[in-house]
Amino acid sequence: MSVKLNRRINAELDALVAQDVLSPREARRIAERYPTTPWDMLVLVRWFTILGAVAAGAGAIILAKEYVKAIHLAELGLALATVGLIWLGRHLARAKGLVKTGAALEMAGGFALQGVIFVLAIDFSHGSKNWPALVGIQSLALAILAYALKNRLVLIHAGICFFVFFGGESGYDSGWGAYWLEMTYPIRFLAMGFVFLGAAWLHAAVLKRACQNFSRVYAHLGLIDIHFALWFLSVFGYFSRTVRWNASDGERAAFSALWALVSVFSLWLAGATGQKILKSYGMTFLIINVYTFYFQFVVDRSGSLWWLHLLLVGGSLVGLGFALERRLRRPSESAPLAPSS
Amino acid sequence: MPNETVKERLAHDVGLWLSDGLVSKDTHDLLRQRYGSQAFGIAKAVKSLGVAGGIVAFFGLLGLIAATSGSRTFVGFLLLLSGAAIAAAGIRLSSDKLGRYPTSSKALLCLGVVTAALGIGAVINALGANDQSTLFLTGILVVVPAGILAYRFKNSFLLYLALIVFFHWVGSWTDMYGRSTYELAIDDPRLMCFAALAAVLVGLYHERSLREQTVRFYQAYEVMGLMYLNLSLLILTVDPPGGTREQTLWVGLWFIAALLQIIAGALQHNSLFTGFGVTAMAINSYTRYYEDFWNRMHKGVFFLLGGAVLFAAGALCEVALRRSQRGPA
Repeated sequence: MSVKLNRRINAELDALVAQDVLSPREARRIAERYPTTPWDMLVLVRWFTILGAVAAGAGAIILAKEYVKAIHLAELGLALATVGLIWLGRHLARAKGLVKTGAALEMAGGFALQGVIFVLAIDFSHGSKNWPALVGIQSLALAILAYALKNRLVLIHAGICFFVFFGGESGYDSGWGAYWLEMTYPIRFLAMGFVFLGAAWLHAAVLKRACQNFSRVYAHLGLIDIHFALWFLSVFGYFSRTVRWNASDGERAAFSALWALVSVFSLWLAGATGQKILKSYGMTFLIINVYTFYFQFVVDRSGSLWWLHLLLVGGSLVGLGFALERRLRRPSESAPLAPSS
Repeated sequence: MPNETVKERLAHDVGLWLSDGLVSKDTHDLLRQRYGSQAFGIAKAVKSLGVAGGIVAFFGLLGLIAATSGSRTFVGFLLLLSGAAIAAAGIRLSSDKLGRYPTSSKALLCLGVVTAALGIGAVINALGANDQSTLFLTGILVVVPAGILAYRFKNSFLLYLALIVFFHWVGSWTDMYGRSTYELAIDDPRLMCFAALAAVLVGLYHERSLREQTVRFYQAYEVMGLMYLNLSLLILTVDPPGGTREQTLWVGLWFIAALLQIIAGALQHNSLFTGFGVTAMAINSYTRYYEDFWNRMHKGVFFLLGGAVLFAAGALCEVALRRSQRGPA
């Protein structure tokens, strides 16, 4: 069925080229997303190369930690790996047409660059132990590399480093079966999230082709920052470095309401701009918000009337949907009746 | 001109083309108009309001039951009657002759069934059944009628709901512990794997043979089935039923399952399978990176070799793809 649909989409792309809406190159790049072959090989290429490069990079780091004792050897090896992987990536992309493989190799070059900076920091350490600043420097170096190579995977790597530099951390407690996520200064994340959304718009609407595809990376980064920050604020109330466990009911309720508003606005904006990503984030985090609110306020205080608030808000939203749909689908009184065939 | 399915799909994808740098802003705006994205957005907004309202009201109803533990029989019957009335209103509005409520009537029908189901649960609980028996009996009484109504009125909200109830009935459970810890448990994850696989197969059957009649129902089966399959395998890798001796087996099985999902996605041209496969492989790798069970093998070698093999496979696929593209020219 998908192949059939993709054939129709390809036919429509041909029509768009004939009408000068799309250039042949644009149509060809878009058509790659709608394959008419029995296998969608591009999916395998993309994910095997990305997952493989990341896993192999992690393995190399683990082995290097254990076996490479001579620090200058590590610097030299990682510097050579950075240059070699980037050169190989560009060579494969340009000479052989292996664009995805080349991009994944460049990302692996970015991992090696991160390693070089780490080893140099150990070598020239003054004992400050300011490791977040080090990750910040790595994030900046990777962002510069991403723009130099015009590589979206390297920009994603830079974005993850930025998240850690800014106060985000994540991990897994073996034996407890528990994943954890930490964040300090959530208000800063909230503000930075809007800056990233601005950067997403700038790349999509103002900057021309070369870096336009960075827009989606910035949009994800911005929306993650905004929703994660509001999630933490709705669970703990306002905090900077350490969370508070008491006397934050009012703040938590207010931040929960703000989070819900942001989610609903995001849903509306998705309809207005046609950006699916806004809807996905809006709906996912609205569900998490209501689920969290239920346990924080309704279960914890079953004697009070928080459930009534939820019923009223939920009922009102459904009612609003009804009113909107009734208004939009009302048949026009002046419209002529359809002829009976 | 393209048919409605093509227009709907392209209206959906044009935003991605812009953010991925495939078309300029001007071309994007032109194509949005061409495929009627404005109307698309409004329909989605109504649907989103219905879903959001339904979720909020659902938790309100749960809170109502928790708050009225002293008179649960009365509240149970009250909810049952209210639910039946709301569902009847949803059915009536869905057959409105002017066709004014095609989307919002579905949200109302779904909310009615949820309310009635909670009422049934409250009554069973009030009659003396413990929590587990209440869930089991309510599941039996609710899943089938909810499924029938979903098919009769082509209501995918209701199908999602019926599937969530079904998987909870099989043995899934979620909770929030303390202020900031979310919990998920599955009573028997091996049994859940089979139930989830069955749901995926039903989804594939709907996608291949019943798509004309059942529209997007296949997505509900595939999403819920793949989600519970991967969650069950995650739990089995973390807490294997046969103890730590079995851990390697389950870790390997989950990697294979993730790989198969990615390959199935490529074969079926189905991004749902690809997405779940990639996510499962990433979570499995992330968890193994922090795991303590590596005493019997070398973690660094595992990641380096595994990653290199996967990367080589990806590169070979790209070589094959480029050759096939050059071939016909």
